[in-house]
Amino acid sequence: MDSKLLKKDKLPSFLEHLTGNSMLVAPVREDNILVYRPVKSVSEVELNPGKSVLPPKEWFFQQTEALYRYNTGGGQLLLEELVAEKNAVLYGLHPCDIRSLAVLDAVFRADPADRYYSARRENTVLIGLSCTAGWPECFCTAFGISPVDGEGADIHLTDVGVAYLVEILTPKGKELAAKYTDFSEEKVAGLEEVKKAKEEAIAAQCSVRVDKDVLPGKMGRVFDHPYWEELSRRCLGCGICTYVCPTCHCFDITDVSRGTEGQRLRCWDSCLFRDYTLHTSGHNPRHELYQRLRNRFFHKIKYNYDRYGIEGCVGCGRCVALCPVNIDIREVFTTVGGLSV
Amino acid sequence: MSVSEAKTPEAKEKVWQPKIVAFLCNWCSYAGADLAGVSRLKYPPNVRIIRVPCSSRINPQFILRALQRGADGVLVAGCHPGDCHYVSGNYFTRRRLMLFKRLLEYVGYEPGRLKVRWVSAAEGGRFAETVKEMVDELTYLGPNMRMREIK
Amino acid sequence: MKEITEILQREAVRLFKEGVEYLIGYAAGSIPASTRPFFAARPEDAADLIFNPFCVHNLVKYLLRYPDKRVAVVVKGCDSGAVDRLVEERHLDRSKITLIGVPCGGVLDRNRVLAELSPSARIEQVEDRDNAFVIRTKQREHVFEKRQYLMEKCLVCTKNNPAGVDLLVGKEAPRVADPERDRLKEVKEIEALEAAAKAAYWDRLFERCLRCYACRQVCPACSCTECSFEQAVPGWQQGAMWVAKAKTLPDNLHYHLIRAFHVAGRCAGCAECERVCPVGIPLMLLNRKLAKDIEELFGEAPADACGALCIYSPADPDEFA
Repeated sequence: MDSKLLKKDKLPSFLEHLTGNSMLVAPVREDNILVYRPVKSVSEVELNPGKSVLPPKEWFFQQTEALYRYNTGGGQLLLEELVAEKNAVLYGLHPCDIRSLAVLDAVFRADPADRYYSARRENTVLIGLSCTAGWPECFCTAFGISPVDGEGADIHLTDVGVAYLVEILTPKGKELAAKYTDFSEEKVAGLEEVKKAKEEAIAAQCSVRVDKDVLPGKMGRVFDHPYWEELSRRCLGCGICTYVCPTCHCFDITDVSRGTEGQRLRCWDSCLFRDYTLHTSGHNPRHELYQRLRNRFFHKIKYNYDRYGIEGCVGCGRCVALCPVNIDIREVFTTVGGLSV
Repeated sequence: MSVSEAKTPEAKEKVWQPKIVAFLCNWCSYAGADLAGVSRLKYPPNVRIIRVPCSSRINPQFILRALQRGADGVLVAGCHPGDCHYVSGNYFTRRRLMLFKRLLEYVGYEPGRLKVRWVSAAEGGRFAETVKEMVDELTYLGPNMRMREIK
Repeated sequence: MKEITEILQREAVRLFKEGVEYLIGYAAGSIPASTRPFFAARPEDAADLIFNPFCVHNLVKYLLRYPDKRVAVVVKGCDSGAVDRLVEERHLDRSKITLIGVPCGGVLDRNRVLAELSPSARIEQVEDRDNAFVIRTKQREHVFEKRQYLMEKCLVCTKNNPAGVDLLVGKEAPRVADPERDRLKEVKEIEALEAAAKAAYWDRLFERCLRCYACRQVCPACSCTECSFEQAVPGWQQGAMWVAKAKTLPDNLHYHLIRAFHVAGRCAGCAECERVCPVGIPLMLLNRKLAKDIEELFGEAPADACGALCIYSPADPDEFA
């Protein structure tokens, strides 16, 4: 690993250098909402972003993505696949969001790999950014994620007070940063200590602990516990928690056709919606709201471990912050841990 | 040939002409349109008529759907108030569509995109007049791109 | 605030003795400056009930889940109107419901309060001083002027004391509305724009919609058992749906216009739709516009009607002649 130091005012020029001819996707503020969007210039970018409402997963796994176009006119079937080819630089990923890509990779890039997702992943350079503060909803440390660790990103930045510590973590990152000449030559001692102190300060705010060896097994034993029904009483059955989740990846495939032409679309879906599991017969295996809500937590903390060996939650806290009725996944972990079965 | 080259004939239309979807009540306005035809009154052929049992059958979603799928304007016509075949249907239509029209304008539709008119079975001339009026207005406004689904 | 909470807890115990099966109220939330809907099922649960200016939720929607149970529910003035409507539409049996009215001095905008305190502030106590809320954190006392920190709806609220409730908890609350404030100010500003500018204004907002349907799920006037946007059809028939699963601006707009229109004349103005929106779409601007037009065109609907669009008068204005 290569470490450099970057003066704070040099960040925009560094980003411009990294972007080159690619597209820059970065956090921007729209009214009061922080979202990741392709930007035209670095000046639009929120350089020190807080937590975005929507996770950056949207860049790799879009809410509505056209997979291919077709035309059946003229007696023949014409197909045109729509795989993203443009290179992009994604700036401002916090460690939880970086980790969430590993979770999505387990789903989309395992054999047989999803071409659409993989193409975007391969064409995108990830620039991580350490957290400068913990939000009250954060709990990434519960899953062993460090709020200052950029593992998974190509280049990772950490604010160390006087400057950014730039860690170049992959060959891809190295290649991009190689020609940048404006790194600070200053030698600052004790950067590792600054980083460590930051990590500890943020971790101190996260009180939730998840024992990866115990909780999934415990979940398996509390499937029929009345707790889920009690919890679901205040649940609205909306899709906020799933749509703002950086690791939720359920989708539905539909065709939109007009006349002889159309598109095949992949669209986000939410297990909280009634029609998510509705069968053609009218039977719905998750007819009750508590079954749907329970499924979400089981997916996060049990099914994902069982199937992919990786957690389905990265502790970003978006669902905690945005749930209109304060259903708190941290509380679910703690409560489930304490349920007697 | 690629998909984008293989356009449907509709998409290749050369000169734009306003397209109106007209929802006509079975008892008055449809008969009125019929009368316009029988009386050989001339009116622009830009209108596609959909017959409905009563003007109160018009779900505002019909109007939105028409605008989404390519209509440049929507016409709703029913019996004059007091003459409804179902006694009170058009009174409900009146309330509903007065309100809905204002809502459409509030979100950025030009007033000319939705027209509601009472046309009785005897008013063939009024029907022809209404269509003419609407075509003129829509020609001035141009194609409706708002809420249009992109093919 | 402490006083209301105490009476609330006492009354709850009494109601359970009288045979109430569920009591829907508020309990402390897990994140700063928040509360959560709370379902008390036993007298012991009463101790968790609270009331403070972070009790933003309208709990009336939950009544629809228990049509056959004897349920008590805590309502603020802006919430109680929704009950009348649901009773009028025969979704609810009023005799099975106990309405616990709380005089309300307004509810606080959580985000604005936390911006002032700190995102992770621990609030220890809240006191209502008529013109301001005094919030005590571990470090010190903060005074939040109501005119500055209340939710938008409270600044034009005329219903601080809920009407038609079965019991009222605590002293009558004074009006907190700002008499200077015009609740239709923003609506009128939009109305004054050119069509293209209106379109641009709304498109920018609706572009953001995720179609998570939280605004529908939370709305006490959205009382259909099956929503017209939730009809189950197989994928190849998706064209038959009012809005497709795909998120597109035309469909987002369609959804929002119809959502607002379906509650036109029935919206109680609790502004929950706007509060729950994760991407901050000001949905009340649609609801208020419809309410404004209804009043201007048809006057106020009689109290025993299920909204202005379910009735008519031959004397209604006619602009289609």
